[in-house]
Amino acid sequence: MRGVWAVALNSFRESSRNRIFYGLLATAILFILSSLLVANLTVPEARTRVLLNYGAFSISLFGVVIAIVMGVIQVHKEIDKKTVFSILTRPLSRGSFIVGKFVGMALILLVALLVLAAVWVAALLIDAALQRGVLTTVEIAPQLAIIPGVLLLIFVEQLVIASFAVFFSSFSSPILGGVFTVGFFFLGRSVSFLLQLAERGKGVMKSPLAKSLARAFSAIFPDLSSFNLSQELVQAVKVPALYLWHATAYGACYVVIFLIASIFLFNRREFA
Amino acid sequence: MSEAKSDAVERDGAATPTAEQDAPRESVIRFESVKKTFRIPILHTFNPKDWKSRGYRTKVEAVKEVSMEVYRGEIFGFLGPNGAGKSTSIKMLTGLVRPSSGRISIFGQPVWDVPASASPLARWFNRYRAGGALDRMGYLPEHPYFYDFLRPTEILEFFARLHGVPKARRSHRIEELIELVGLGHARERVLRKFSKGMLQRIGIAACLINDPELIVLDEPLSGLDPIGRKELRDLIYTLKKRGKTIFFSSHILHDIELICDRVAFIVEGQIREIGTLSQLQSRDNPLVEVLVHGSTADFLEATRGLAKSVESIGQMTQCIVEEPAVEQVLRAAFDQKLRIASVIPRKATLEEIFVAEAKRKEAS
Ligand SMILES: Nc1ncnc2c1ncn2[C@@H]1O[C@H](COP(=O)(O)OP(=O)(O)OP(=O)(O)O)[C@@H](O)[C@H]1O
Ligand SMILES: [Mg+2]
Repeated sequence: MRGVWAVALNSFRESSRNRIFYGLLATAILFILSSLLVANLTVPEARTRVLLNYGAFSISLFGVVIAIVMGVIQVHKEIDKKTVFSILTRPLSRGSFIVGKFVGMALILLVALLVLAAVWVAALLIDAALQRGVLTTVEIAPQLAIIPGVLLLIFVEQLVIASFAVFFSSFSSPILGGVFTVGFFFLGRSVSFLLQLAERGKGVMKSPLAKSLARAFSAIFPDLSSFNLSQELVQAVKVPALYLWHATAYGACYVVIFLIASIFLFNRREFA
Repeated sequence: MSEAKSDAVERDGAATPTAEQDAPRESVIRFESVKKTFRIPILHTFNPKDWKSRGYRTKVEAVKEVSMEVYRGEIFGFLGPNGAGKSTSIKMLTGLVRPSSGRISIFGQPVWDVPASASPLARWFNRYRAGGALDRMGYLPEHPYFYDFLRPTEILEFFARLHGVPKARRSHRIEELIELVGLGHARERVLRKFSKGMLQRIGIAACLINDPELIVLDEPLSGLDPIGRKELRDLIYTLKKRGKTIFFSSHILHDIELICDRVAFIVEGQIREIGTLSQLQSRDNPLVEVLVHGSTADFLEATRGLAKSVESIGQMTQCIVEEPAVEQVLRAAFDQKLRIASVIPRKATLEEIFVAEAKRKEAS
């Protein structure tokens, strides 16, 4: 286990000095801040809604981008640049290496998430203060209360995607890994939509083939839309704690499956 | 060989030179008819314009037959031209590449064995089994490369942790190694800004971080400047004095000559020759170089049949002769009133053995 932690800290340190990471983070911050401008273009009643939606969307989007980019770079670069030669030839199992990489990535994603969340909440509060002349959080309090749950599930979604990126880059090239991970993300996000379409059965989707395909997809791919709480956030609907637990456990299952598969492939891999 | 016996010799530490030669020595690395065939993805070799000829190869026999043994306490040079299979052999030893067949052991423990009785799942996983040995071993990869954004101390710290070097000893050890490889001046720089030779140096430090008993170096001298090479040679020698076993590959022959106890030649994936330097050098008649000022047609005529090679170098004529023929060549020079510049006995350098080996391979 000492190996896992050493690898994790090391890859956290390495990626926290990577300019790509800061580039993505800065873009995300700009994005969130620009929501203040966009909010000015809307009717006053829609203001808070725009800020909430836009912020949650940017955090989730950039979180996913960071997860994909860092995930693919992290593992693949190790193999491509042959840093693994000096690591796997030390008393450290390949499984510990993969898990360590994943934990390191989770750490960097967590830092990114906390920074973005801070910017987002600050933007919300500043806007509330500017609009009403005083810093009052009373009116957006119900939404603020939901934010921790929203962030939790955004983080879980990122971890699922990161584990998938690790899985892919443990045996393919970085571009292919990136492409597949992006595809995985879109499929995961639309699985429940596809299933709905198939259930309602109109047009092409009516055929039994389409139905069973949609079922198969939803059986294999994680339903990433279950990590998306933007509706609840905008409408200030309280999310039950049980739901958060279930969604987290659901994501954790996928993370474990992908990591086991990565370890399995990585163990058989040669580094020539 | 018997483990117990060699252990006894080690422990007594009073083995006389003759006893040392007779007694079996403890083997640290052993290759037994190891082979490696790489599969190449057909996509890389397939040529759509020429698909009928089936000229595309999907297999490369990187290592065809390697059997050798490295004993405790020796410096063993692994020599061969580019693409001979040195790095591949070393990677099989360190667990990065799986042998297609054969056995490799370190400290007497087989490292890649999957018993025939193993389940398909175990075969599928087929892992390197030398985890314990890795803690007693240091490996310098061919072109060492580390993380871009870490500093030398940080990368060494990381490796020290992987070996479980206790915290109290870590920073002292790291400082020591950084000084040893002469990177004190680059302490604050990230590795991305390191030159090739500097990376090689940090690689050497990383390889020694766990104070290994067995040190495996893949072309340790590449990228180093002349001073660096001399320092590394001295370092390897010091390590040997401290009882370490050193196995290294190279094609810089001059450097190897000075420090190796034994060498193995590998050409096209096959071991051609293994032995001590003096064994390899004294196989043929010793050669002598005769250098004379100027030359005449008669002299050239006279020496042509005698010398192995006659060459004019500037104003001089250089004749390489086997020892018994020296007298005749000198007499021919006297007869022609040519002044003799020097007569120097010449041991075959590794380079010559090396070239001869490669040639022999081509001829056969
Ligand atoms: N992953 C691989 N796939 C296919 N062929 C390979 C692979 N790795 C090495 N080879 C081939 O195996 C042979 C031996 O390569 P290797 O790197 O072991 O040579 P080497 O003796 O270390 O040479 P050098 O002195 O240049 O370092 C070469 O012909 C090389 O092309
Ligand atoms: Mg090589």
